[in-house]
Amino acid sequence: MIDLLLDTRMEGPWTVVDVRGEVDAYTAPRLRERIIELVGEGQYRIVINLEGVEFMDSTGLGVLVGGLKRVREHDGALALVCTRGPVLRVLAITGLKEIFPVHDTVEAAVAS
Amino acid sequence: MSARSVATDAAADEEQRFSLTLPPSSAYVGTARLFAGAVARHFGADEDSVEELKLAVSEACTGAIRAQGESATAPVRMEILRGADRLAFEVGASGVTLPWSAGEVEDAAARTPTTDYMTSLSVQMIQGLFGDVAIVESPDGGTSIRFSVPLRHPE
Repeated sequence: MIDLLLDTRMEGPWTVVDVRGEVDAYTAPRLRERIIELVGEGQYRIVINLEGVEFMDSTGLGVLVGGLKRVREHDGALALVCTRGPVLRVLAITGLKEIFPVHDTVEAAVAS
Repeated sequence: MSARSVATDAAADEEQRFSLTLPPSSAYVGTARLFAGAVARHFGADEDSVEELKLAVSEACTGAIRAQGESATAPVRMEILRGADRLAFEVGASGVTLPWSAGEVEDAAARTPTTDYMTSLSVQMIQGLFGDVAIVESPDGGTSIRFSVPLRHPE
């Protein structure tokens, strides 16, 4: 599926998921599954890097919220990296910008 | 289909109508966003409006599909009407009632408690985007959602 690309890597104790493309009802399930897999593998500190995301709607937000809940069940953390206006706007409109730690870079996210 | 081939300077003052019909699958919502964005850019909508529009179209089309449940069969239809200084959108699927009520969309205070978290998120999104969003009853049954973006006047 070329609409969404996911890459996973480790930065110290954090798992970074680099997301590129568009996150909507069609592609969001793959991101959801990746997060579920990671939690199942015992990875409870996850950074979702949204810098490569060109579009995200409420379906994508729902996946992020679901991910936050899953890691919190294990006293984990989920942080976002995002500087792009449109995606930040989506987070702001729904008030979710207050719920997720949002960083400008992956380096900043994993240092927190 | 090219929107560019339809618009002419001579027709600048006339209403022009575009429509797109898609099978009710989330696989095609991206296509609806592309189409809406292309038409809006062609008629001079600014980039912020185009981004808002793509969000609204995405939420609307996804809602029209999700409302049909497991066996969605009614195609999603998007109509775009180019007026003098606004581009008006209407999205729906024949006979399908969208997951948002008129009250929920127009007035946050009127939002009914919902157990569906995704519906709650999507209505927040739509409320946050446009001031003139409306849920209307369709002649063919069900409801559709309307919203519009301003167009710059030509120089």
